[in-house]
Amino acid sequence: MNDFFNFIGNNLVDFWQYTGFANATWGHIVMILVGCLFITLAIKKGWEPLLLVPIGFGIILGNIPFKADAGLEIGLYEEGSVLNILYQGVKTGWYPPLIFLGIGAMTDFGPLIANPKMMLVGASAQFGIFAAYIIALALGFEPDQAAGIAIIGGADGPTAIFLSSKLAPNLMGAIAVCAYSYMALVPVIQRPIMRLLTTKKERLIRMEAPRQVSQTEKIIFPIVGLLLTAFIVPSGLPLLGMLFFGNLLNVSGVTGRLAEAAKGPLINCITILLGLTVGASTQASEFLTPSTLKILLVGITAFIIATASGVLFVKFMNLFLPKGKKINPLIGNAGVSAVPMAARISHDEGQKADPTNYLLMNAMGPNVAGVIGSACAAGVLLGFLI
Amino acid sequence: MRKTLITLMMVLAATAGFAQGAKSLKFNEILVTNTESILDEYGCRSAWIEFHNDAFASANARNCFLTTNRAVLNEELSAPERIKMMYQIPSGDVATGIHGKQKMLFFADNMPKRGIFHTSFTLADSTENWIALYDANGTTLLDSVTVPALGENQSWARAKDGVGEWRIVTADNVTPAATNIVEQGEGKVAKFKRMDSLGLGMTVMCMAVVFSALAILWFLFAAIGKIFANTVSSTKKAPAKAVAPAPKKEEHMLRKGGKADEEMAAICMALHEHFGNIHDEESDVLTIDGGESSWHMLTHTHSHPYPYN
Repeated sequence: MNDFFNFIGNNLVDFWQYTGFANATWGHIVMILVGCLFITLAIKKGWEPLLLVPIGFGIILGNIPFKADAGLEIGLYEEGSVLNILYQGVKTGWYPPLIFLGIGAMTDFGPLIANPKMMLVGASAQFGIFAAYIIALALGFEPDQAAGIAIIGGADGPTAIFLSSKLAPNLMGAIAVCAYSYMALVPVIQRPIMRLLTTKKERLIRMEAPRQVSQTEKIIFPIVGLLLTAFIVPSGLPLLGMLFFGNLLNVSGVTGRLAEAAKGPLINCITILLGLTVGASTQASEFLTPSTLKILLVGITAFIIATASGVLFVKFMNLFLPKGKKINPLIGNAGVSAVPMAARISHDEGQKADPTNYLLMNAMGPNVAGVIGSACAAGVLLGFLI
Repeated sequence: MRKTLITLMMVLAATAGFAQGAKSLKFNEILVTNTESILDEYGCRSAWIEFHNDAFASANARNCFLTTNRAVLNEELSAPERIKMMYQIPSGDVATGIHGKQKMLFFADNMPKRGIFHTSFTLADSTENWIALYDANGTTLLDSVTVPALGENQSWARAKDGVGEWRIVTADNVTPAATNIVEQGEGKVAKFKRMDSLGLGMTVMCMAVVFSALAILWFLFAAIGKIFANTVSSTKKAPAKAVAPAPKKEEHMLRKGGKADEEMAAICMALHEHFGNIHDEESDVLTIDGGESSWHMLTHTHSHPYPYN
């Protein structure tokens, strides 16, 4: 009888050693709380819920403690586990281009085609990326790691994941979480900078509504855009190719079903998988390091500089533009590629200064230029460093 | 139209077939007299032939032929006659697959029973050797090389993998199943760290490239926009002769965002609802429902359902 109770007792002890309670560390608890915070922000505040809910839940999922040496094949980094298989799309970098396919199908480049000088505003906001590169180098990161971190300044989650998976795979989890977190915080980060750098008079500048763009122009844009940008920056081909392809599906007028698939079921599926696995990749042992704090610091600085660059560049352009053709500097922040959040902020700030001023369509120009610009910037960094 | 499509598909199929075959396999390095170089899996030393897959995609050498017999160059020979003079790389073994830019090594020891990487011929010491690789059909020459007489443990290798001039490599520098050039030196990242420690150079270069790319797009689409604007205005001008010009007051209102804008918005919304089928669905049944509704209840709860002025 004693043997039987010993047997039961030993099994219960073994079972206890497999449970999360026995394997939990402070790191796990902190990360689970971070995951809960993300979900709370998404649901309560409505900050980028489509991203923060999967990422937040992924963080919880990836930080459930278990006996790592038991060979259960359940951890994200254990070869053959379900999470590991889903993570391959992040690791090998094929989720981001598929997201770009959907973004391309959802994006209307009309405002940019109508006012192509907004391309320059989109380009100027990319300075945030390279300023962040300088700061990351100063903080002691290697050039490839610095480039992976700096791309956070593009405010473009898929691009950040794509580049960091190539240049700084060990920092990818922190970079992705940082990029998406700051994208959710775009309204909080950008507004004060926009107000600080503009005068009341500048905020009141009215802009003409963008002209109507013909369908032929809309069809030419993705083809010419791809040829030009990909010839200059071939290393950005996966992102640029998919972005312009998705857009062509949408504007061609004959591939409606494909466009619907790209901007609906496909991007939704990939967003779920990307968010969940990126969240799960932030395991406490990898994430709770001094490097993560540095990345968070560089990331927010990059966002601030990118916003400021866009606004200041518009003010610079205004020096050369005739009266009546001036650009409202409030749309400069939209040069980062957080579409359409950044454009909405331009519009809201414009409305606060003058409720009859509608800047949304004007701001969409630099906003979509920012998407192209950040993909180009990622391609350039990849070309130089890989 | 159908003919064009069929032709296009045939071209694509041919291209795909080419890409998936063994066309990218190239001789890369050959060692004839092996006394110090690599051992085979039986612990024996023999002459070896190295292939390089010059493509980034995988290739497969299964069913291809290796030979040292120049008689196969006779174009009048039939495929079966040629095949008799060659060693066929066996199929059915995954080991014949070769990843992009990777190497594969065959031992020329006349011991084909020892495995797929052991040929049925040997290479002649101290004389010239001609080696050829034929496709699975036995007639398409994929690559050939003439190896001069070599010293012991010397190899005949390309300067760069798959391309470049052939040269004699000394015994100390032969690289069986490995790249012919072992590059030693700073990588790009290390160079950037040393030469551009502050990151200013990278910033200037990258911003210049990004600005250039988008500036060119700007110029291009500014030009395209002008062309289209001219086309639209010229097509609009013709019927304008028959239509009375819009009153100046209305033009002014349109420009300044006055009442005309609201009218335009209302018209656009109506059209949008009409063409998008998003207007309210009507039941097409007219009836008087005798039931009480919450609206009806207002008469009970408010002494004055309509405000008095």
